[in-house]
Amino acid sequence: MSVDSVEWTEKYRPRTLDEVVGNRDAIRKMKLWAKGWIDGVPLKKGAEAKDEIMKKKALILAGPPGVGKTTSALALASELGWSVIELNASDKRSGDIVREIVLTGALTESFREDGSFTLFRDGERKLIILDEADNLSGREDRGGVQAIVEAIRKGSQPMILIVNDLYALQKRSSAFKGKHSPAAVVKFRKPDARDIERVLTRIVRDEGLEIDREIVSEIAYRSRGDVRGAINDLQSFAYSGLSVDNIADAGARDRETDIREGLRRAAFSGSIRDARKALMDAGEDPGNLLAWIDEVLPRLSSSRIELFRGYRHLSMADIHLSRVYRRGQYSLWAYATEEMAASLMFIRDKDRFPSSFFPQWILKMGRSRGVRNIRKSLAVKMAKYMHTTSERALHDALPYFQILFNRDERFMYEMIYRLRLEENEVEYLIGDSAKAKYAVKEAMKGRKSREIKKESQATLFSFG
Amino acid sequence: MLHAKVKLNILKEIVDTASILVPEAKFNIEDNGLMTKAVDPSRIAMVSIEVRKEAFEEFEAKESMLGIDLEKLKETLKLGSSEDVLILDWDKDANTLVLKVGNLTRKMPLIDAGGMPDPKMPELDLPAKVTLPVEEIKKGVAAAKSISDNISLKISEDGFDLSSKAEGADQANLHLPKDALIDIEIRESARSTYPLEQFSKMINAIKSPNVTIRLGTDYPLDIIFEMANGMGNGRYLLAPRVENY
Repeated sequence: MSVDSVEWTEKYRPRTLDEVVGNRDAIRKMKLWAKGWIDGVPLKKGAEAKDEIMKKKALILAGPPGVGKTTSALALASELGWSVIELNASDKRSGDIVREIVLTGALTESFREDGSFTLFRDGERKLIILDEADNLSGREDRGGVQAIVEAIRKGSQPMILIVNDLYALQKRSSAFKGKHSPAAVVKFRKPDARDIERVLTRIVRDEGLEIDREIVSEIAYRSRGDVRGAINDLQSFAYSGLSVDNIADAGARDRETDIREGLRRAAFSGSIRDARKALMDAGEDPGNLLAWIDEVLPRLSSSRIELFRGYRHLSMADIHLSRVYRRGQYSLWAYATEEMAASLMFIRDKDRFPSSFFPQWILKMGRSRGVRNIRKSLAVKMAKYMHTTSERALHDALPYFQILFNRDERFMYEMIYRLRLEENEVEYLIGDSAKAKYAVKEAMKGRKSREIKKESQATLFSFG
Repeated sequence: MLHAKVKLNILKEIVDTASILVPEAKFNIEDNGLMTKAVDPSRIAMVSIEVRKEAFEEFEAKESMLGIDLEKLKETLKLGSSEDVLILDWDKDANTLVLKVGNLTRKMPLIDAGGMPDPKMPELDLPAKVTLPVEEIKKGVAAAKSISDNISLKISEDGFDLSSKAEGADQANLHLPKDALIDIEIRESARSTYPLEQFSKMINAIKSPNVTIRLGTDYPLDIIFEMANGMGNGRYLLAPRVENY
């Protein structure tokens, strides 16, 4: 297969808003907001608009990675012919630069590299896109966020802030809370697997590839709403010809390198502050990062005391994280990262840093994901039938259910029918796919269970 | 290929002219001189510089592109005094620039120029033009600084005006009547407002005594000046403030 170096995520990046996957409501809001700007509503004091969002100078696009936030912002600009200044808040060396660029940029016209320039009065706008606005600075310079608020308030050009974690941004500046916020929030959600499948199918067609529909739909399903991830996975699959079971690993390759590099830099950085920065730059979810450090720490430690000291911090990070996830105490997030950074500070022998490794924990969880999902869906069905929680059904009832299921054929057919069990669920229970297929087919006809019922009744009567 | 000898103050002038807008720049070297063009990160200002080989004590070059970290070069230039003659050599294989000042040698890695943009300067049809001493503009800038973040420029039949206004009653105006100007040409009068900080940086970076300003209403500002004692020329463009309406 020919290998071109163009990333499909770039090649097939939507140029118009209507091409963006899913998120119709978010797109509608963005269009409305842009219309406000075309009419100059946000700059007129006390102007009337049919929707509040049209009066806002800025938008905050919030949502998980890879669902199309930046893509939508760029598509909006290209659709309207607006100039774009795209800044990544986290990779600027200081808040001052963000401040200067955003603040002056928001007030003026601007030049394009092709020798043209914008003219506001002719309806031309300059869209300032600030990516990773929730990662802007740390405690070090709160000034950065203030500069952004100021730029929005004073500015005369549209601005879009892009965040994964809306709360992190609102925590830094309360200006973004409530209805007086100068920025309207537009939430992006994970598109569902069918939408992603449609996108992938189109790419397969345009690239002239022959990939089974089932594989495409498997990639879409496994991406869990991450469109960018799904497209990357499809590309790795097309180029490498890996089996579908390897796709998840293959697609994750780039991300892995980023994380490994981030960890390496963190371990070498010599100060907690720099280490934290390196970890944050790795752009990985803190929960996963924890698994990565857990994997590498024992290999890096040259003595038990080093290991002990490292884990003392890592375990604190774990505690903070579980509170973040279970109780929603997002303010602890910062401490978790800090503790993770600290856990890497005791390594003396940097040469031990392994060139290639991957957290076993994530690998195992990934491999067992299929089985865990089946158990979960079984539990949900049982729980409904038993009038209990799925948690209960999973832990208390499922083991006995499985024994009964295997020993009593009538019970099996009855349950398949009543719980509407799927083939894969039955297969999990009895461990035989051919038999499962047959059983489901028969049970759904409903005949088998009735026949057995009659038979057993007959036997009963013959006793008498 | 590049081998050149140049007075430190000439090189400093070139670096300073560009470095107020960008931390690094791509220099196009040709056999008769060098030139560079850049747009600042917020895209509100552009600079273009052309210096002829006569500005150098010695200049031997074949067509090439050098990506230079201006901040580093600036630091190096602090090591000598303005009348020192610097020797510049480009080591193509190592992609480094070798500078010698007296007994000091400084090797500087170059930035990959291929990835650096090549912005085009827009064609501007501007209806008003004045030429005047830079010192006069500096006075107007100094007066505006304590008042506002912006400065307004106006060219009319009355002459040239630099003014700034705060939200209260604070305001400053520098009026230069026609006879205080070296030259004035008007098709129609023009007025625009610009960010003061950038305008001030530009004016202060100009070493030549006189400067030509071209202006259009709500259009980019065009500042034209001589460089390297008349052996080169520079040009700044500055985008106007969006006027609230």
